[in-house]
Amino acid sequence: MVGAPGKRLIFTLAGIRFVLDLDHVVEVLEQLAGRLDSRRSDLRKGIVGALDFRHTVIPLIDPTLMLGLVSAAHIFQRSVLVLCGSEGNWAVLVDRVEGLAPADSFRRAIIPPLFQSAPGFAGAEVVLAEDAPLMVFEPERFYGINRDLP
Amino acid sequence: MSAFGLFHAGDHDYAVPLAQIRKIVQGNTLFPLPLLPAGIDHVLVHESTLVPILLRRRDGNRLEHDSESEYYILVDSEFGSLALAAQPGSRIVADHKGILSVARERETAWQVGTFFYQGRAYKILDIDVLAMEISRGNGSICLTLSGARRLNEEEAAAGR
Repeated sequence: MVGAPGKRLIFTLAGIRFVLDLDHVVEVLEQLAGRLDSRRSDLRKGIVGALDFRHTVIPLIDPTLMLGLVSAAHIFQRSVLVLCGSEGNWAVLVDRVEGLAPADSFRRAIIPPLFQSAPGFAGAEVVLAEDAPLMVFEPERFYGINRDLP
Repeated sequence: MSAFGLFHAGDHDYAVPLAQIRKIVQGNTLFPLPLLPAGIDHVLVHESTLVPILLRRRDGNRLEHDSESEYYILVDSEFGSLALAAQPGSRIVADHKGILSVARERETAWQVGTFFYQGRAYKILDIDVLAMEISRGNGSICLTLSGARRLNEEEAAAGR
């Protein structure tokens, strides 16, 4: 999917909607069964296992671990986004992929000062689509050498 | 003339100086967001701004989402707009219609005093202090419907 600029992918995690620039997305996997080696997890880094993807093994991150969220879906019912990063491909677990939307269909939400001073929320970006907020998913917060934990 | 906005939330009655009330809205959808300060887990959207919900109606221990009957009082604070969830029946009353009592020392940081009106005691909220306590983000205090302080896990474990 790399090379399709101007679009964003919408997905949900624990009932919260997120949006991600499609430029980051390599592929969406709906089937996780048979691809995951959970013995190679490192939960301190949010890594729940190693994912077999195109004959390579890449880390699978569950963002809920860092966001303090709880997904109601079983891990094998969840979807996987394979993302490209500075250190190669990696993958992220999401509950459901809603679809794509043009980047210009979102407008930036105004973040109140109360949230700007919250340690975890500081620097986060929220956009609105039809007056509903979506968190902007920033991959560098979750994986990579520039990872900046919320 | 000054006045208070009076409203009910849970088993308690609250008052907010009218000058701090921006608007009362109804039927807004609430949205959960991650990583919010302690005591806040939902927002509503008003004029493209995320507005934190401070007081909220609960059914048992759970927040009721998307309730059409829910009212939200939007108030201004030093930390931006905040929303106080309230039950139907909110009203605006001039201060001379009731009895204003301001304690020399506050029982709680967020209560300025008490406004007595028609046999009910309305806790006068200091919105700025309330927001400031929440902005600390340590979970040591948040105002729930019971109006009580909620100790965070560390404090509870320490038995304070």
